[in-house]
Amino acid sequence: MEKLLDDRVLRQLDEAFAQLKEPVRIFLFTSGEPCETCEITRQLLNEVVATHNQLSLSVHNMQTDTELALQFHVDKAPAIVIAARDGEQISNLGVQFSGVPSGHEFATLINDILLVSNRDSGLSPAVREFLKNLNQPLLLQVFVTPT
Amino acid sequence: MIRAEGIDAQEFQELAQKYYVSGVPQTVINSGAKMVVGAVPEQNLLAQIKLALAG
Repeated sequence: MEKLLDDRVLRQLDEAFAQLKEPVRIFLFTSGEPCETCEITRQLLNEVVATHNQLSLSVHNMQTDTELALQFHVDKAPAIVIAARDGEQISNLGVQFSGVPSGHEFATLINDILLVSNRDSGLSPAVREFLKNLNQPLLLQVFVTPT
Repeated sequence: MIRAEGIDAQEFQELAQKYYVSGVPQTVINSGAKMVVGAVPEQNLLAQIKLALAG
Protein backbone atom coordinates (compact mmCIF):
# COMPACT_ATOMS: atom_id res chain seq x y z
CA MET A 1 0.00 0.00 0.00
CA GLU A 2 1.24 3.49 -0.77
CA LYS A 3 1.93 5.85 2.11
CA LEU A 4 -1.26 7.44 3.36
CA LEU A 5 0.21 10.46 5.14
CA ASP A 6 1.99 13.08 3.06
CA ASP A 7 4.90 15.24 4.25
CA ARG A 8 2.65 18.14 5.17
CA VAL A 9 0.60 15.97 7.52
CA LEU A 10 3.75 14.36 8.95
CA ARG A 11 5.11 17.82 9.78
CA GLN A 12 1.83 18.71 11.48
CA LEU A 13 2.02 15.51 13.48
CA ASP A 14 5.57 16.32 14.57
CA GLU A 15 4.28 19.66 15.81
CA ALA A 16 1.26 18.18 17.58
CA PHE A 17 3.26 15.37 19.17
CA ALA A 18 6.01 17.67 20.39
CA GLN A 19 3.68 18.07 23.41
CA LEU A 20 3.37 14.33 24.07
CA LYS A 21 3.84 13.62 27.76
CA GLU A 22 3.38 9.97 28.70
CA PRO A 23 3.53 6.84 26.50
CA VAL A 24 0.47 5.72 24.59
CA ARG A 25 -0.24 2.21 23.32
CA ILE A 26 -2.71 1.92 20.48
CA PHE A 27 -4.50 -1.39 20.06
CA LEU A 28 -6.00 -2.17 16.68
CA PHE A 29 -8.49 -5.00 16.43
CA THR A 30 -8.99 -6.41 12.96
CA SER A 31 -11.36 -9.02 11.63
CA GLY A 32 -10.28 -12.52 10.68
CA GLU A 33 -12.19 -12.22 7.43
CA PRO A 34 -10.84 -10.09 4.57
CA CYS A 35 -11.31 -6.53 5.81
CA GLU A 36 -10.07 -3.74 3.59
CA THR A 37 -10.88 -1.03 6.11
CA CYS A 38 -8.80 -2.94 8.67
CA GLU A 39 -5.80 -2.90 6.33
CA ILE A 40 -6.16 0.82 5.64
CA THR A 41 -6.47 1.51 9.36
CA ARG A 42 -3.42 -0.63 10.12
CA GLN A 43 -1.35 1.27 7.54
CA LEU A 44 -2.57 4.62 8.86
CA LEU A 45 -1.80 3.75 12.48
CA ASN A 46 1.64 2.38 11.54
CA GLU A 47 2.49 5.69 9.92
CA VAL A 48 1.17 7.74 12.85
CA VAL A 49 2.95 5.66 15.47
CA ALA A 50 6.24 5.85 13.55
CA THR A 51 6.39 9.61 14.11
CA HIS A 52 7.08 9.46 17.85
CA ASN A 53 8.83 7.02 20.17
CA GLN A 54 6.22 7.41 22.92
CA LEU A 55 3.68 5.79 20.60
CA SER A 56 3.36 2.06 20.01
CA LEU A 57 0.91 -0.11 18.12
CA SER A 58 -0.37 -3.59 18.87
CA VAL A 59 -2.52 -5.36 16.27
CA HIS A 60 -4.94 -8.16 17.20
CA ASN A 61 -7.42 -10.35 15.41
CA MET A 62 -10.69 -10.02 17.32
CA GLN A 63 -11.69 -13.53 16.31
CA THR A 64 -8.61 -15.20 17.79
CA ASP A 65 -7.68 -12.73 20.57
CA THR A 66 -11.15 -13.08 22.02
CA GLU A 67 -10.15 -12.48 25.63
CA LEU A 68 -8.40 -9.24 24.82
CA ALA A 69 -11.29 -8.12 22.59
CA LEU A 70 -13.70 -8.83 25.45
CA GLN A 71 -11.50 -6.96 27.91
CA PHE A 72 -11.56 -3.89 25.67
CA HIS A 73 -15.26 -4.32 24.81
CA VAL A 74 -14.45 -4.65 21.13
CA ASP A 75 -17.22 -6.11 19.00
CA LYS A 76 -16.58 -4.56 15.59
CA ALA A 77 -13.61 -4.16 13.27
CA PRO A 78 -11.59 -2.15 12.71
CA ALA A 79 -11.61 -0.97 16.33
CA ILE A 80 -8.95 1.30 17.79
CA VAL A 81 -8.34 1.46 21.52
CA ILE A 82 -6.10 4.28 22.73
CA ALA A 83 -4.59 3.18 26.01
CA ALA A 84 -2.09 4.54 28.49
CA ARG A 85 1.24 2.78 28.87
CA ASP A 86 3.40 3.19 31.95
CA GLY A 87 6.42 0.93 31.57
CA GLU A 88 4.93 -2.51 30.97
CA GLN A 89 1.58 -1.57 32.48
CA ILE A 90 -1.33 -0.85 30.13
CA SER A 91 -4.33 1.11 31.41
CA ASN A 92 -7.53 1.10 29.41
CA LEU A 93 -9.04 4.57 29.82
CA GLY A 94 -12.14 3.72 27.78
CA VAL A 95 -11.17 5.70 24.68
CA GLN A 96 -12.04 3.91 21.43
CA PHE A 97 -12.81 4.54 17.80
CA SER A 98 -14.51 2.10 15.44
CA GLY A 99 -13.96 2.45 11.70
CA VAL A 100 -11.27 4.17 9.66
CA PRO A 101 -10.33 7.48 11.30
CA SER A 102 -10.26 9.44 8.05
CA GLY A 103 -11.23 12.99 7.17
CA HIS A 104 -12.36 14.93 10.25
CA GLU A 105 -11.86 11.88 12.42
CA PHE A 106 -8.11 11.89 11.82
CA ALA A 107 -7.91 15.03 13.97
CA THR A 108 -10.05 13.22 16.55
CA LEU A 109 -7.57 10.33 16.58
CA ILE A 110 -4.65 12.71 17.13
CA ASN A 111 -6.52 14.59 19.87
CA ASP A 112 -7.37 11.29 21.57
CA ILE A 113 -3.70 10.34 21.54
CA LEU A 114 -2.79 13.69 23.10
CA LEU A 115 -5.59 13.34 25.65
CA VAL A 116 -4.42 9.91 26.78
CA SER A 117 -0.80 11.03 26.75
CA ASN A 118 -1.66 13.93 29.07
CA ARG A 119 -3.43 11.49 31.40
CA ASP A 120 -6.01 14.23 31.93
CA SER A 121 -9.56 14.56 30.64
CA GLY A 122 -9.53 18.35 30.55
CA LEU A 123 -13.07 18.32 31.95
CA SER A 124 -14.50 20.91 34.35
CA PRO A 125 -14.28 20.20 38.10
CA ALA A 126 -18.05 19.63 38.41
CA VAL A 127 -18.07 17.00 35.69
CA ARG A 128 -14.95 15.33 37.08
CA GLU A 129 -16.59 15.13 40.51
CA PHE A 130 -19.73 13.57 39.07
CA LEU A 131 -17.83 10.98 37.07
CA LYS A 132 -15.54 10.15 39.97
CA ASN A 133 -18.57 9.25 42.12
CA LEU A 134 -20.26 7.26 39.40
CA ASN A 135 -21.01 3.69 40.40
CA GLN A 136 -22.80 2.55 37.27
CA PRO A 137 -21.38 1.79 33.81
CA LEU A 138 -21.53 4.66 31.33
CA LEU A 139 -21.25 4.09 27.62
CA LEU A 140 -21.09 7.03 25.24
CA GLN A 141 -21.23 6.07 21.58
CA VAL A 142 -20.68 9.02 19.28
CA PHE A 143 -21.72 8.44 15.69
CA VAL A 144 -19.77 10.50 13.18
CA THR A 145 -19.28 10.75 9.46
CA PRO A 146 -15.62 11.34 8.58
CA THR A 147 -16.34 12.96 5.22
CA MET B 1 -16.67 1.63 33.79
CA ILE B 2 -16.82 4.72 31.58
CA ARG B 3 -16.28 4.11 27.92
CA ALA B 4 -16.46 6.46 24.95
CA GLU B 5 -16.52 5.04 21.45
CA GLY B 6 -16.44 7.10 18.27
CA ILE B 7 -18.22 5.18 15.51
CA ASP B 8 -18.14 5.80 11.76
CA ALA B 9 -21.84 5.79 10.87
CA GLN B 10 -21.15 4.94 7.24
CA GLU B 11 -19.08 1.90 8.04
CA PHE B 12 -21.46 0.63 10.71
CA GLN B 13 -24.76 1.53 9.05
CA GLU B 14 -26.86 -1.12 10.77
CA LEU B 15 -25.89 0.19 14.17
CA ALA B 16 -26.45 3.80 13.08
CA GLN B 17 -29.89 2.84 11.77
CA LYS B 18 -30.72 1.07 15.01
CA TYR B 19 -30.41 4.45 16.76
CA TYR B 20 -31.99 6.42 13.91
CA VAL B 21 -28.80 8.40 13.41
CA SER B 22 -29.45 11.18 10.92
CA GLY B 23 -27.53 14.21 12.12
CA VAL B 24 -23.98 13.84 13.32
CA PRO B 25 -22.45 13.85 15.74
CA GLN B 26 -25.05 11.84 17.58
CA THR B 27 -24.19 10.63 21.07
CA VAL B 28 -26.02 7.52 22.23
CA ILE B 29 -25.89 7.13 26.01
CA ASN B 30 -26.06 3.62 27.49
CA SER B 31 -27.40 1.94 24.35
CA GLY B 32 -30.26 4.36 23.83
CA ALA B 33 -31.25 5.50 27.32
CA LYS B 34 -30.74 9.03 26.05
CA MET B 35 -29.47 10.53 22.81
CA VAL B 36 -27.87 13.86 22.08
CA VAL B 37 -27.72 15.25 18.56
CA GLY B 38 -25.02 17.74 17.70
CA ALA B 39 -21.90 18.95 19.44
CA VAL B 40 -23.07 20.29 22.79
CA PRO B 41 -21.32 21.92 25.72
CA GLU B 42 -20.00 19.70 28.50
CA GLN B 43 -22.77 20.72 30.90
CA ASN B 44 -25.51 19.78 28.44
CA LEU B 45 -24.00 16.36 27.95
CA LEU B 46 -23.71 15.93 31.69
CA ALA B 47 -27.40 16.76 32.13
CA GLN B 48 -28.37 14.10 29.57
CA ILE B 49 -26.04 11.57 31.19
CA LYS B 50 -27.71 12.18 34.55
CA LEU B 51 -31.14 11.67 32.97
CA ALA B 52 -29.98 8.52 31.25
CA LEU B 53 -28.64 7.06 34.48
CA ALA B 54 -31.71 8.02 36.50
CA GLY B 55 -34.34 6.57 34.15
